[in-house]
Amino acid sequence: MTPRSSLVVNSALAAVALLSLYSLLDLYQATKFYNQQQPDPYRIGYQAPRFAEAMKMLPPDAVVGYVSNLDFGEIRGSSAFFGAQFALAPRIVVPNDHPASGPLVLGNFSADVETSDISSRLAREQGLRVVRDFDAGVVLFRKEGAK
Amino acid sequence: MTALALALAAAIGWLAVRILLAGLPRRPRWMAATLEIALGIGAGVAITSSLFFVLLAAGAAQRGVVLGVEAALLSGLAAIAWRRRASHAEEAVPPPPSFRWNWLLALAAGAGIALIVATQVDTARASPHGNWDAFATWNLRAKFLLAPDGQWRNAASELLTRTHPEYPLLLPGFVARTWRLAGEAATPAAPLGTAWLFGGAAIAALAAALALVRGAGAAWLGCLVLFSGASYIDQISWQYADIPLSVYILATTIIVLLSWRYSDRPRAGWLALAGALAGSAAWAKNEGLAFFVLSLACYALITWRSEGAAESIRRGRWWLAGGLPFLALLAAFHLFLAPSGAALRGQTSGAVLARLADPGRYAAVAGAFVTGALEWGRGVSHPAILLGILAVALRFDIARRHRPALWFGAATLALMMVAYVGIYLASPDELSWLLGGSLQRLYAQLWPAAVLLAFVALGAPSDPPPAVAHAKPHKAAAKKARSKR
Repeated sequence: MTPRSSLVVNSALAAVALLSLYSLLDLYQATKFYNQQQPDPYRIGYQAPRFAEAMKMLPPDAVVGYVSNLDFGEIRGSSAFFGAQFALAPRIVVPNDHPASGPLVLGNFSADVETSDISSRLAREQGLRVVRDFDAGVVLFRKEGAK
Repeated sequence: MTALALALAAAIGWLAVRILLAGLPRRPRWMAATLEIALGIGAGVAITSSLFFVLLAAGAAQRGVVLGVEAALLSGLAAIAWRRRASHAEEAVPPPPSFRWNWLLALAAGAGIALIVATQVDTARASPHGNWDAFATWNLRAKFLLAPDGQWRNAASELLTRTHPEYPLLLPGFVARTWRLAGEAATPAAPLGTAWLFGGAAIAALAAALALVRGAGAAWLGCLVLFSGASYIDQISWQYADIPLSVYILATTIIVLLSWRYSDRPRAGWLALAGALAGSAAWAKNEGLAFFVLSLACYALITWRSEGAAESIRRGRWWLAGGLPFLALLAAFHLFLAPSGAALRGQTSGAVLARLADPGRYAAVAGAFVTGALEWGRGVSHPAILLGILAVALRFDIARRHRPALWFGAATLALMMVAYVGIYLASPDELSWLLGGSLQRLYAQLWPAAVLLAFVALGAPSDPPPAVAHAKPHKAAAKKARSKR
């Protein structure tokens, strides 16, 4: 087989190097743009400070019920749930209607609803009593009848 | 403190690899050292993560105990490595081909690494907690492993809805161990540092292995092609287990390649290291268990064909011996900790067969694999285009001693793809959601090993032979010479 001329080989290698660098530059610019538009898209960095006070009232081995105005089937709802679970671990967070749910129930509400209104409604509908409203959409409930 | 804890794990792994890889020809010396360190990162993470899990199970995972055990291990390994330093004797290996533009390729690869670092730092600043599965699965379970008393077992609680409590614990165990040593629970530094360590290990291991077997030019080109897999680079800061798994798959393939290149009868230590790295893959992710089984089967089969049954059994035993500690941990995890049947999720054989008989699912999976492959790179800089250019320019040049490793790698990766397809076809999850959320990660698992194999098959860039050597003697001069004789 005839060897390729140096010019062909060197041109090909230069093309590969330039295309690879172009790819990385393109990725860098796209990533930078995305990060500027959506820093921490699931708001995980915000959850630990939001739940810090509530955590003090929850024993580390607690299985905590969870209620929210956000639907778990949608991305906002599921990211709010997992964000709360990540912040509260090693406490286990389960939907309030889960049989393993303990006497304490965590309310995690979005900023676009009035927390006092939704807390009252949930308390009425699901038999919950407000233990404490921590602001920023975090409310701790206790199940009625639970000690 | 996080950096020190990460460095301690890497040092343990480096020494373990150095001991087991005794006899590795060290030319170029700095590339051999780079390879040991890169493989050592993967090995060190697996060793220290496993130790932490054992200490947890024994109720002795306090900071002082973990530090003491790891320091003792480091000292012991250092002593063994010091005693065996003479065994790193130089062996006669052909020098890699020289290429006058290597420095320019190295410069391009260096610029690429600078861009990767800039991309990762920007992502880390914006999303230090990683992508979805990092906080919903991997790092969440690491937080559980730090729970007081026996509550660390909740890392595999069936109450952790949709967080896959059945997933193995290499990554969460290592992150939890690093948090404990650093005394900084749940800060992003440990998982982020781990992700960057593995990303760096993938690049360094690929470059070093290619430099040893194909020369520096192939090493830098291999890096440049690896970088053109934009999705792989994007995933480094996600903090998932797929990049670590890709490092274990690459590392196993490298050891197999080196063992066949340098010896007709690979040393037991090399085989045990290959088995340990494949076993680490099984302790990292469920797909890693498939890799362990398939890689061992392919290795044993190829050895059996070329060396006979007895040699195949000998090598297979060492491979198994290396992987055994990690397989034992995995078995103990599934037997005593993980929710029973979580992986199967109550599926009946009838339901699985019905899904496997659905032609629509085959079409959907095939379409997604093609789309996923097209989306692996970015437009004109797609890796397939780069590899096409290199195939035309450099052609293929498969050395005889590389053929078994090439067969091994190609067969293992192809069977892994078949396994992935099988999982998609049989899974009870909604297919488009499953494909959309996981296919790029599966490609990432195999990508560095695939690039390695491509460059083992491709010709290496080299300078043309000196013109004098090929010049035909002038007719008159030849006649004169003959008449003189």
